[in-house]
Amino acid sequence: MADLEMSKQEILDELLAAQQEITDLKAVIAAHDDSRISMNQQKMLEVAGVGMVLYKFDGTVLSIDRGALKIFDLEDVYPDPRAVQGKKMGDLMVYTGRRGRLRSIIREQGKAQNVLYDFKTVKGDLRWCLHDSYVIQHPETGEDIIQAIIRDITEQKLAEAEQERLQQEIIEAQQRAIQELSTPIIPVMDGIIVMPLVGSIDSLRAKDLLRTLLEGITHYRARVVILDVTGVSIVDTGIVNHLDKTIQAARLKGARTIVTGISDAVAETIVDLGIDWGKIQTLSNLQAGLLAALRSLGIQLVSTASNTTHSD
Amino acid sequence: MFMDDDFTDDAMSGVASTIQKLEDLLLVTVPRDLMDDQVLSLRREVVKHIRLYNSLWVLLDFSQVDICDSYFGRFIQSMANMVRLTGARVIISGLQDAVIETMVELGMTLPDVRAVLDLDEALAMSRTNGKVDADTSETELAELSFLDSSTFDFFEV
Repeated sequence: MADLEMSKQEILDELLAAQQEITDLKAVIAAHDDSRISMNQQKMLEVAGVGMVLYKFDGTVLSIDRGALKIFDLEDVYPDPRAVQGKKMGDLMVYTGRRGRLRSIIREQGKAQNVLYDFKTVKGDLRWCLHDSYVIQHPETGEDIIQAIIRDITEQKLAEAEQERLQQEIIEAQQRAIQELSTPIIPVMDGIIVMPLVGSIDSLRAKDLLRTLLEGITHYRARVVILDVTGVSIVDTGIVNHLDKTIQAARLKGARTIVTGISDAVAETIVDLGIDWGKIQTLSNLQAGLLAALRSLGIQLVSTASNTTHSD
Repeated sequence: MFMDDDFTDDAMSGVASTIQKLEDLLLVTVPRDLMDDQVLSLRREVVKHIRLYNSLWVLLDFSQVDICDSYFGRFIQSMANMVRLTGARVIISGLQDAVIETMVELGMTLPDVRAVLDLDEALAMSRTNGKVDADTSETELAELSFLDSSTFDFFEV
């Protein structure tokens, strides 16, 4: 019986010991798993372009991970992140803005969230990163230190800039196309150019028009400019003023202007607005304008058809 | 006898070379940066040369000028008035696009000064209308415009 009691006790002890062993083993396995998870996490952070840095307010690095080193582009310089311990942040990067800007934010608010931060790597490449951090106590000395997570967003930034540049280029190209469309210069004969105006004329277009016309006069050595306003349906004082300036500018360039294609409505408006265009030669249509321009240059149109009829 | 000492100002030394005779024209190349004191001496020198060569036209060539202010407009106007008193006429040429733009914005349209594109045009004009007497009136002169006078009146545009 006593044997039996003893054996019972023994069995119990053994059972307890076995249980303890299992718990220990479980702990070991758990610890192992933990380290694996943390290793995986570390790898994940690295791939995602995220890095962690622990540093003092004076910039001294306490610990840094591989991800952060990757962002700083220092992986090849410091293969072991522990080698960076004790270095200053200023040794790892080149400040582009004011030094300590971020640290003053952290000191004031106790944390920094989603702060866009740009810097240059020691090798000279510009980097953008998002910075999140908060202040913790050093486990041994108790002083305030900064725990920061930085995310590299350089690629996104560059892609954005590229996108913006492309968009700007498209806009510019379209604007150029519209400008060219809106102010064509048509050389009809030696010394005569026609400039048809279409649509509304604002001050921006008027300036463009004036420049194009001046360039056209120089290019074609024009002595007469026919400004055809058939395509202008509405006229106000502003437009008349712009046209006036254009005509004066053409004159200073040595060319005289004939305005053609004034519709009934436009003529009415001009009179009603009390605008004096008496000094400017205006004709009803382009045909009349062209004939007047030819006459002024001493060129005459002669029909050859009538000559042949007579010779027959 | 025309080289009076009165006219040979020190300020003129740099300007004199810009006045040249070209047939009936007196070609005046206006320097890029015309100083106030140079304007006075340039005006005098031009009038002196008109008398020397019996020039009928004074061509002010502005191809070197790329800056324009209100003083610039007054310079052209005063030059035109002074030249007219000696029986010749002022033509301006070679105004740059940017200068014209500014002039138009400032309202300096110089309504009674004839403008041409460049020297070629000026020469062609002076050849066509070469025989302008000193006592030709303003209206007669206007009718002698380069283009057919029955259609246009250049001094009116």
